[in-house]
Amino acid sequence: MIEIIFWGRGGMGAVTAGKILSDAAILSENYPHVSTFPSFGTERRGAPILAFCRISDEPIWVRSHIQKADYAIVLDETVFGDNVITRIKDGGALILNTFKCPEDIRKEYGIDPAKITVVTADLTQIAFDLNLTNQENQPIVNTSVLGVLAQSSLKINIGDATQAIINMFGEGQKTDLNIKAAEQAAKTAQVDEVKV
Amino acid sequence: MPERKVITGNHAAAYACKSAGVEVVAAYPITPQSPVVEKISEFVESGELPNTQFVCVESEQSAISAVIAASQMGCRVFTASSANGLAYMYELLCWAAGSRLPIVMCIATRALGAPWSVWTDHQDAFSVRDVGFMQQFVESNQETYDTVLMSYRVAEDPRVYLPAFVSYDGYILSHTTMSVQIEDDDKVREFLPPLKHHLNLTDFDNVHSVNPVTPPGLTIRPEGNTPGYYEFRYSMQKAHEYSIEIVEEVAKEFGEKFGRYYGNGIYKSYQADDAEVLIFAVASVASESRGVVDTLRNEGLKVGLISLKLYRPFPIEHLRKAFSKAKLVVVFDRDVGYGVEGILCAELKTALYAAENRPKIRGFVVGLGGRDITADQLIGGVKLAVQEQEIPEVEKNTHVEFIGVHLEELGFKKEEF
Amino acid sequence: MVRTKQDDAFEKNVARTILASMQTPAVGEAGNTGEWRTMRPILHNDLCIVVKSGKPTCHLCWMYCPEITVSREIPPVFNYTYCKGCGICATECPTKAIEMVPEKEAPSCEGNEGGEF
Repeated sequence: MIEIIFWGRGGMGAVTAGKILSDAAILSENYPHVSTFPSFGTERRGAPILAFCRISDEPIWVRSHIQKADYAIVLDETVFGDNVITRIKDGGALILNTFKCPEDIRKEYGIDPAKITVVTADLTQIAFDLNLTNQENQPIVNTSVLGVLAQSSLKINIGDATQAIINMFGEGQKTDLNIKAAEQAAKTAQVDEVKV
Repeated sequence: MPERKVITGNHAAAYACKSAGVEVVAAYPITPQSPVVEKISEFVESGELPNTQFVCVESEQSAISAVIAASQMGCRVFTASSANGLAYMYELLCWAAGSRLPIVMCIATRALGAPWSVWTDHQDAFSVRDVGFMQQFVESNQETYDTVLMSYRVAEDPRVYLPAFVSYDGYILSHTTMSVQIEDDDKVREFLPPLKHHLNLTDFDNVHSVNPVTPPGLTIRPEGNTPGYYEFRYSMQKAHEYSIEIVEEVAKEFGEKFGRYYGNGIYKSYQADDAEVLIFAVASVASESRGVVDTLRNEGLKVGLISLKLYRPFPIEHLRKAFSKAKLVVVFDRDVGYGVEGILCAELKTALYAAENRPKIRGFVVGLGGRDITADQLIGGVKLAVQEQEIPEVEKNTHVEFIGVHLEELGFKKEEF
Repeated sequence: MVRTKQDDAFEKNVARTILASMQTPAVGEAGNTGEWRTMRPILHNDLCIVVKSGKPTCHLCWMYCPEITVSREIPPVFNYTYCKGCGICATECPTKAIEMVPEKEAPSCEGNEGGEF
């Protein structure tokens, strides 16, 4: 079972990202069992929120929150900190939406390179570059992050991810932009050189 | 072709209604149930449910009233609610059961106020245990979909004619996305043929007067005597008692048709065959317990799980059999019978009182108001019960034990006493 | 565990405390909500009606702010501790005197792009 936690803020689509990821997992045929849920509650726009995603080749019976994740995905750097780092398993990966490079993040937060792979991608900039924003002109970053995930050791490729995005939003111009963002994110994501 | 969809529990329930071809739906939104009816209204709007009437109502009480009225007209109906909305329906729930209407209703379980909470526990579902509905708990979204279909089949069986609840955990299932197989409409139709109701008030050739004031005694009249309230209720209790075998029968037929079995349709067991210690729980608590069983087995403890599916009628005979070899039963309740103990625990004790094998029963309350239930908490509970099973004072304890209450942080310190 | 007198005394104390009395309203219940911001509102005094007139006239930003983080002063002042950066003030400002600018700084170094992990 692979456990993934999304960190974001209400309205960024962290929960939707989890849903798309679980759909992509099913499409990949490598993970027939999925379970994705938000941290639940009186969600408000802007409030820090968590979304949990479990994917597995065996039935999933765990219903509690994920305590330690294989992949920690942070859509908004302002919610990132030790609260995130302490919830990553040894050998896990951190995927952070930031303009900074992995090395800086590692130094800033003192992350042990032997334990956690740090990946950064400037998803916000990609969204602005592609004009991929919502009505309030906020950048959409929840779909592009799936492109980054497709680069990971997860057995989900970019094709599954884009198909899942289409399943979620239907065909259309905006969907194409989302896919473009995902592809661009996959290309520009920075992985620290220390391999685990 | 059956279709595999990645959907939430609420949407699984909505898809079940679509597959069942419900004719009238009325519901009032309440967290965490709202998306069920939102999805059904989408189906109606888009024309995917062309023969379904969606009734907009102003409250839960009106929702169940509309559904009762429609059911009395011979329609297959559906509604859903949670917590305080469900409590607001209470009067009419008794009305639905007393009229023996085959209504199927989903409960996305949620804690009752006060204090206000939108998170899950099973208090609301257990609070309506005595209204006369049948009640099933589920552990996954696929089971929600399947159980709604099975519930229609049982409720509409001429040998039963009782309304039924399908309860799934708010958020934990209602808002959790899982993969669900949606069956072919034709195949579902074979399993669940169109409703042939015992009652159809639009059929004027067959005049009924439903639920007039019914005196304690029989009404003696030349055209034939009519039953008193007592006989009505006697018949309802007997309908419950004899419906258990029908639930089992329908579950078996469902399994043969669709290839999915949920234990024997009454309860699901996990590693229970040789278990000395059995965990007894429903819904989310039961599914969380499965991992706990694995962990404890690895440590050498012979632990198993009985996950109750059919809660009303309470399958006493089945439970006596299920616990016939156990030495110790640990019951985890996500509810409290205030002033007594966990409701499930109390009922299990009642059921096993006359059993040949009477295991020791230790009950714990967990996860009220959505407090996350972790495997560690459950493991702690089981271990404690195992450790202390021989201590008579523990067995006689009348104080209910809660796991995972944080009192220290609120300034309550035990050392001070 | 076998119950002791201490258990009873402790539980009685909890039972006889009305926990509802521990729930009180407070400023900043959701914490430092200023951290939620990705865009920051900046006031351009040269466009602001209030500043230009020198009187408490327009103040639509103050009126529309859902978090009461814009003051009714001359010029209006943003409380960045609690401003979530929703941008309603900027949208409502009739003279576009409020601009939403990104919070972030400039990048500092290059990394290994498009790598797999």
